[in-house]
Amino acid sequence: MLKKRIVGTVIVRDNIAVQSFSYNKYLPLGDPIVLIENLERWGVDEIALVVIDRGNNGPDLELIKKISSKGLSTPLIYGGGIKKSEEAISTIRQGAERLIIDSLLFDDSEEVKEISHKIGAQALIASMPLVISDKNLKHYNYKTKKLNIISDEILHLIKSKYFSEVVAVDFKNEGGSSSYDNLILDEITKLTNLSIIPFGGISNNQICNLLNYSNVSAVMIGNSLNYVENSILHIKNKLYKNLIRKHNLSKNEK
Amino acid sequence: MKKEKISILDYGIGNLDSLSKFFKRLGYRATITNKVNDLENTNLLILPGVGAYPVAMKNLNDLELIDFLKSYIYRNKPLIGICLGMQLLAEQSTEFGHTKGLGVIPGYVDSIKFSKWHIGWNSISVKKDHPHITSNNKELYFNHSYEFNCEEEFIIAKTFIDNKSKGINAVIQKGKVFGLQFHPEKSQEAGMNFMKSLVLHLLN
Repeated sequence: MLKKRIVGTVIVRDNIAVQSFSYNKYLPLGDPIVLIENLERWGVDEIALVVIDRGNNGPDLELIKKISSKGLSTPLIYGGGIKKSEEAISTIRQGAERLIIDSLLFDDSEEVKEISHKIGAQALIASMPLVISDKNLKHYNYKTKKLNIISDEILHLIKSKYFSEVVAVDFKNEGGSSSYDNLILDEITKLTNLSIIPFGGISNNQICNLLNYSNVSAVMIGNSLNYVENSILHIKNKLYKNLIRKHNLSKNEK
Repeated sequence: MKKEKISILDYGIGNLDSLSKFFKRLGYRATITNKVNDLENTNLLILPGVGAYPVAMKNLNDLELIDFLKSYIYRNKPLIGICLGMQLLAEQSTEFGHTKGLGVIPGYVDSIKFSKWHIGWNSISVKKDHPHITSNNKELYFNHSYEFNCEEEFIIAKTFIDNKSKGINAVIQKGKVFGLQFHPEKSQEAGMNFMKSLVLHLLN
């Protein structure tokens, strides 16, 4: 049976892996390639590499190439700077299996459709920083720094067949010590039939609870995985065995 | 490094570098090429693929590789199609309208019936005894929204999304042509072990 996934997430800014706090403050962690190698060795199910400062410079193909040259045998999801279908194709050819789209949702929905047509919806994930504000679900545009109700255009994209999954980012709790706000998950579930991947402030104790939602296919976890060696293994060992793929440590890691 | 040469077909689709490194880790010389002279001299041809069916077939057509691939297979030379590469072996696909495939293994590609997508790690259930295909109950990585429908005689293994689904063809075979719906190069140790056995079989 299809298993749910734990996606180890590395956020990059100024070419350094960082711990992000609510898309506002950043604490350097180190070389993103080292962190990714660790995640692979520890048995994550997918690795998400999100480069948050690409702007209009396109995807960071150089970084993806360096990571690919390490012979990664874990699926790689890339997000950051993708604005055109040619860039999406280049990113896949350079080494990513799937792509995350965030700001392009606001900027150019027609290009999103074109990207989906070229690489397939199974390879495309919508990332949406969300918050419950005044009892409404609101979508944060990190470029304009504005919070608004999800636009009709974006709603159409996530209701239709252009994406396969939606990352519902609790950006307020990202990097913090509070838990992921389940209300975000409840509200986004009302708006789309796509599988949801929660991200942002997820505590180890919450992972099992979130993965038990029928429409949650995976959880994205960032910072906390880097603080304890083999944390993925400890997390997976606590989960019901049919829910998640188990990973065996190599002899060297035991 | 083993002396046999594996060629990965470059037709503008897919993550070729990952595949190249994967086969090198298995101990083989792997080159990425679309030159017919290089492909003629290969011991094993890999047909990769990520993306949309019509785009893939158009690229093969534009590179004038369709006739070569059919001839290569007709001469009973070994080939492994991976993910979209497996689906291209079909007679046709309904993805974004009707598109003719390579017609190597009788069957057609259609959207997955019980789910929009099949994304993640899943185990395979071997339906036909095959000395070089085993599942060992280890999960492999799948990422697709279309499936290859064909007769039982070509099906080696299936995978099941849940208890209610009828199963998706995960491994198919006709002669020395194999189709793998999953990505062995992205399936960590399970993918390596699977491919080690299959490649050894095809090269002997």
